[in-house]
Amino acid sequence: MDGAVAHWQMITRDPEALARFYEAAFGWSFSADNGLGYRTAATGGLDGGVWPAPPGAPEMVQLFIEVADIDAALVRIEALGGKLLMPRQVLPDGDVMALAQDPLGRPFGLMTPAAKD
Amino acid sequence: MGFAAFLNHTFEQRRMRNRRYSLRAFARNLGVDHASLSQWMRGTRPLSDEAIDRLADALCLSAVQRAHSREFDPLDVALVEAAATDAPPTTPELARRLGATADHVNVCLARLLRLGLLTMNGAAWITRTEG
Repeated sequence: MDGAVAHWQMITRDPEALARFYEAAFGWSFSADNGLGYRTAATGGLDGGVWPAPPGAPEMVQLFIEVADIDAALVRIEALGGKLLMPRQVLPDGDVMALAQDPLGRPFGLMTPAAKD
Repeated sequence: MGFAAFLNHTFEQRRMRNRRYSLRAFARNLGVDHASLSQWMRGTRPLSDEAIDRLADALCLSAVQRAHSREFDPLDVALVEAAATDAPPTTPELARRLGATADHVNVCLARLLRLGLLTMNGAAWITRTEG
């Protein structure tokens, strides 16, 4: 659904420790069995993932918002005072994503899931 | 990591082309004294923003190269090279090949995507976006 929060992502300097923590605390299940070695988290509710932080970056959670047209969303975001952080990418599984920032400086993701047959 | 690593990489590249290329010659080309350059490259003297700008000017870096040089990681080079092949290996494969962790590879990958030096292209995975 356009505009729905469809995924979340924790950015952390220690992805393995973070995944172990949430696995032990809440029974979330993590898998990195994909081309990127991306740790996906199945929570029983909204699923997410864990991505490594570059040196010096803060620990944070990013929301990923589903849109049908990422390029059009980026135009709206920039018109509203946000900015593009990472241009549109087609992930190995076919999902499309980009990273942007809201006018207060908070990074978030945009995603268009791959078409399912 | 960062500009000091970029200086070391640039020096090594020049040495690969000419084994007699010295640190003194590199300093001369960059318009700085040899002792300062040596300390910057070894990380024993911090690089100020002003020094980085001056060195980036001397190296004739483009805007993208300039941004990249400040965050440079030697693993970036291997990733950009992998992206130039017909079938780039996956992150776990690259990590195994380079003796790095998949997380380290992914930190570098995210940097290169953000800077526009690589693009993820679905089945082709990553492709080079700047020469």
